[in-house]
Amino acid sequence: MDISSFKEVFAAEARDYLQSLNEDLLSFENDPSDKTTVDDMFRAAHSLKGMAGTMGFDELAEFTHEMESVLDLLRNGELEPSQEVINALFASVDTLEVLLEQTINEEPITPVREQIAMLEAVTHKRPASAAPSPRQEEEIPVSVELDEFKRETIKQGLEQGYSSFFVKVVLRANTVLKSVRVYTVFQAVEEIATIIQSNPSVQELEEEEFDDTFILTILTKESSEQVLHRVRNISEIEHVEVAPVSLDEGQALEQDEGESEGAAIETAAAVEKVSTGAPSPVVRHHRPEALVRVETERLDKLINLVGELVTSRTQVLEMVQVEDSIGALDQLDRVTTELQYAAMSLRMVAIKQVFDRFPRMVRDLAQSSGKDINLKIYGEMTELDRSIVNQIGDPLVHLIRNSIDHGLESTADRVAKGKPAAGTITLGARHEGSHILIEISDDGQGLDLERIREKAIEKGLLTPDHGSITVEEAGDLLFSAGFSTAEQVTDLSGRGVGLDAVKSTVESLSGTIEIESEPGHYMRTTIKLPLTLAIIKALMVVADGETLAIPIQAVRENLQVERSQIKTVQQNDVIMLRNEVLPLYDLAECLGFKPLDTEGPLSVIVVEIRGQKVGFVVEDLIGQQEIVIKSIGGILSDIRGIAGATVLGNGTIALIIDNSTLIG
Amino acid sequence: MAKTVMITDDTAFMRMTLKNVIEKNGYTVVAEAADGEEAVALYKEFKPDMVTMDITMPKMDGITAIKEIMKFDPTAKIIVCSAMGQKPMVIEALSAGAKDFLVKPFDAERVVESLRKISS
Repeated sequence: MDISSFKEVFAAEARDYLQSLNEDLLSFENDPSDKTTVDDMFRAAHSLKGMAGTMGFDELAEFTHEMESVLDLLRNGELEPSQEVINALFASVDTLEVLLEQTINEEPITPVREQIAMLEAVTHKRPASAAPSPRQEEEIPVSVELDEFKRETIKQGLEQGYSSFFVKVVLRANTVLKSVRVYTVFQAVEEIATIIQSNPSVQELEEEEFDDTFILTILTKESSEQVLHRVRNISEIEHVEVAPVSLDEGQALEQDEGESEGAAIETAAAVEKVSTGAPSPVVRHHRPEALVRVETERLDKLINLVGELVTSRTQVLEMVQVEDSIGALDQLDRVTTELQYAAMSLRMVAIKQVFDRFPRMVRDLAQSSGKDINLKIYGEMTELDRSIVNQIGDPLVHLIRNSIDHGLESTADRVAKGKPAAGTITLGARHEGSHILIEISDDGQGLDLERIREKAIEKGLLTPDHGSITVEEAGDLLFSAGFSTAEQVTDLSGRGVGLDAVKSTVESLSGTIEIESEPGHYMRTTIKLPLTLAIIKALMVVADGETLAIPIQAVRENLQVERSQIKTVQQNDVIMLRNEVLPLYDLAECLGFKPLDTEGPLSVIVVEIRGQKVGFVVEDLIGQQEIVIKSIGGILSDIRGIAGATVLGNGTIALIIDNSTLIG
Repeated sequence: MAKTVMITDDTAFMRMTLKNVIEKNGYTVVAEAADGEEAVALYKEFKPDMVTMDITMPKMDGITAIKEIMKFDPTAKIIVCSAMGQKPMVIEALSAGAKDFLVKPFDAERVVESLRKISS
């Protein structure tokens, strides 16, 4: 019987076993007490071994046998399901995957001696490196390669007065729990610095896939001596070296994707020499996926083109009024609209990728602040524009830190007030029309209106005789520059910067931010953002003959104003609008165009800028339109009052007004 | 004046071994606790300069005890002591505020190094 005809069946079934091994391992890691999972894994490994043996795939059978032995010990309770053991099992499944694909494709088999040694080490409690390699740390230079992005981060840090160093740390050869020792180094370094990069990667360090040496790239305000001193005061450190990072050598090598693989050209070579005892990196075999990776640039181009198509469609529909063509035009209209949504959906990503970092952050902050905190997350699959997702993380970090630091009371205080001992922070996202709402709330003490009032008076934001304030006013005060009520500056927040930065980030994303609170009970911050920044609704106006687009979300109303209504206060034109003074500006003049010199009533667009209403006088009003935002590149990108440009249906270009920088 | 140390471990044998090493090296053991609750109470009473803290103990485990002590004294210097294979617990202890860790079986030199480094 020709057994090779069974290869396909074998391959399919073996892959299934590996898949279920992976899944079982994950659930086993979560609940190591679950004996049935161990039994399942043992059986899977056992079956796989038998199958491989039957097929004459010796390497595969041999390795599966090693894995089975570990599982057997686990099953019988003779081996503690430590993280080390679980990691070794995960690594084994990876190795098996590689072995399996190599075997099936009749490729040369990568030797797996090290991986076997690792499994044996776990069962025999022997050190993972079978033969200790000679120590060659002096050959590892105190320098690593940095990718473009990290170099930029460091450059910005240097400009802000930070110093950047490479910190080479060599652990003592007999260090136990190396990864935990590394953790203490990270902890100590993070107290005085920001870690930009770690070589080997954090994951490799965690999995102890390194010898004794690792290099951190840091940004700090401290001197190299202080960094050195800090690390030296950690146990089991053989040797520390600190060297300044220099960006001006020819280090700007093109990196391939991923920081861990491509990084450290120089170091990687040196480390490899040292780490002969450690398992060599296992390369996963690529399988076809249901996903296609596309460069974002290409995607943006497509979306841009669709945007332009949408605008031309509008134009065509306006021009063509022939009876017979109505049906065909309707179809064109429908298809382009659908195409527009489909293209926009390509830009959309779930907000999950931002939310995912918070459970860990809240857990850490809860521990360091000594508070009990539950984090509830909802709506994490809500999608929004990729460019917004990239920028909304920091504001959310700040608001959550604020909730933990200022909102939630200490456990003792909560119990005294009759609240549940553990505070709850809710983070959620949902759609509302063409907007997404992100909500951060806590069931803490809410806004202390009296303290905010006092603080505002102290800071000169309110007059000393100002009476009590409303929650809404308190919210506005909190978001104004330089306001902080923290009596004690803590690690987390209360440095007096932040909330105003949060507000300006949100506003730069064309969003708004709102605070609700019931003092003593809760505080809720709601951020309202547009779904996308690529296509916006705008009010089209004319000033000095130029067509201009004003983003609609800032526009409050349009007015017709008689010239006789205009008064002059301190040399500024104003009108009275419902008992409020509305300052008037000539839009053309604000942009440096020729001021308006026509007779008759004026068209005024009332726009809200940083909570203040102002009126812009324009020559003419065209109407509302959806426009595609294009940034103006190069030296024109920073012009005051201009956010970008858009191409209109007739091919002409209209500038998009940036309300926030137009005046003041 | 000699620095003071409190030893926390549920086995008398371990406490004895540690005490022997610590006292030989010029430190004074001012208190010995056999569980987390006792450790918290004795810490408040003696305010030792340093603490060694076992993880697995009856009544209150070492991690909870570390959190309690850190709440009482955020500057407390605690060395967590673990057995092999307690890595996640050691990390939890460190993030709760422990300053260093030791892995059993103890090596006398490591114990002394730890005490010296965290007290400097």
